[in-house]
Amino acid sequence: MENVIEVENLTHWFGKQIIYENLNFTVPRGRIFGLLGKNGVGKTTLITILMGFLRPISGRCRVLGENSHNLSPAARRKIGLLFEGHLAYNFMSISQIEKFYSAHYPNWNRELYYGLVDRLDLPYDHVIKNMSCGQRSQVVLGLIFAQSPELMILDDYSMGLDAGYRRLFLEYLSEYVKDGSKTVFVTSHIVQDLENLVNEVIFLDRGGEILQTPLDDFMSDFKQFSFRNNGLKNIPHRDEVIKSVDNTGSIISVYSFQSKEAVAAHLKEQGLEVAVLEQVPMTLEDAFIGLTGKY
Amino acid sequence: MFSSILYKEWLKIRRYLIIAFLLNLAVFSYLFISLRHLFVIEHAEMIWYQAFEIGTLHYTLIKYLSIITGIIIGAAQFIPEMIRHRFKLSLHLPVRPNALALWSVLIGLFAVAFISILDAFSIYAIISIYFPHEAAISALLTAIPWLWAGLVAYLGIALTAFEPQSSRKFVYLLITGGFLWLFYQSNDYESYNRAIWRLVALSLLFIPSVILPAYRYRNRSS
Repeated sequence: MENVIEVENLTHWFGKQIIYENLNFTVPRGRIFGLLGKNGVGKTTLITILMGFLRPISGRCRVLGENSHNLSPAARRKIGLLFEGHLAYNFMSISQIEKFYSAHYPNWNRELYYGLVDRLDLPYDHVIKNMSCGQRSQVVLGLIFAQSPELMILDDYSMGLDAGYRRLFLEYLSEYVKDGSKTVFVTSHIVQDLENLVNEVIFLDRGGEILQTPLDDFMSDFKQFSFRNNGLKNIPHRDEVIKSVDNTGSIISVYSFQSKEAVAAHLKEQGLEVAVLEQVPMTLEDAFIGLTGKY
Repeated sequence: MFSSILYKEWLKIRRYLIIAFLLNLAVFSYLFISLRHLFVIEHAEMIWYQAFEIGTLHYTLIKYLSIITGIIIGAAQFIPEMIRHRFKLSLHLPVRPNALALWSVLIGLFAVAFISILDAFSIYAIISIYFPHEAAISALLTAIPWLWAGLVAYLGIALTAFEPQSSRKFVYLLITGGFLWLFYQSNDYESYNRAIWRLVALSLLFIPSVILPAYRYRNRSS
């Protein structure tokens, strides 16, 4: 399968803070990828590098077969990019920005844009700078859909959107990728939204540690086990088997890719006698917190 | 592509172009009224003596006007792009970044030049009312460095705005300031007649030089 994004040995740092060290991953065509990670792990930085706005210290990034630092106009025409914070030309009105962008994209879908923007119930001469954050988001997302891009890169699309519009947007996005030729690379602070959307997830951790996996595999392999803390002297700690520990006082939860039996045996090795170890069903958000930990 | 960039730049500068036009109109109106007032309260031969024997310039009011015009248009065009790094939106358009930066600057430059040309006609027309044709031409030649300084100021704003690094922005401002200083080294009639074309040619180098900071903006390493 053709890869639309290829990242090889990417290394970048700001000052003394290492953001990535030899980061590697690929995004095949026709898939929806969720890039997940806590604040500050470098999700936006990664997108900035992929779009050629930041030159990494070392490594190679290719987008649609081209070096990301030197994307041709033809390649950029195929990429719908949502900048963090729903950046837009705020001096333009709803109709002016449509007129401006439509001149650059041969597959421009005017109906799609106005289909989304009409839901704002604003006059077309309403200027973007006078819109709320959520209204501006709707205009910007409408512009990206109207481009009909091959690759959509969305940096925190959910910022400022209410639940209804987020749901609507996800429906549009599902429709957009239906024919299998389009690819979406998305980050969101609302992890739960991605559960029914993405095919694969990339978990990014500080220092550039990465876990790339199909979402279904992750949700079936990664598990949460809980047990009562009946005056335990030791608390389980993170290691190869236990990815993280959540101690709320009376209940202790451990997260692991191992089976219940293996985790029970491992806890015993750590000197913990657990009477009843229960597997707890998880949402993607639970699993995300389980994997990356709370702050 | 060009028409689309023109459309965007026009949306940004149109109001400020009108403001700059009205400012220039107000200053030239004041210049006209001042000159008329001078001819009412002074004998004509005294004004002639001041102008052509002592060398008093009666239109120094417009000396820095073009610089203000250049700054207004430059700020109107580039501040919206630089706030929250909106220039990235332009750089993601399916247009060659160099062409994008150059076209944007040329459009703004044309706007400043439009006002400067109107200023040139205005100074010729106002001086022609009270002085002979030769004096009006002389006034025009004397004012050309001031009018051209507006274009240099605009280009300096563009250069500084595109540059992502603060220390380099400072250097570009210094270079621009130094260059502008060259245009204001004399208060005598037509003192730049021999030097102005060299200064004009040199200042045209500002136009291609905006490509470098625009490139650096796109390829930052931090």
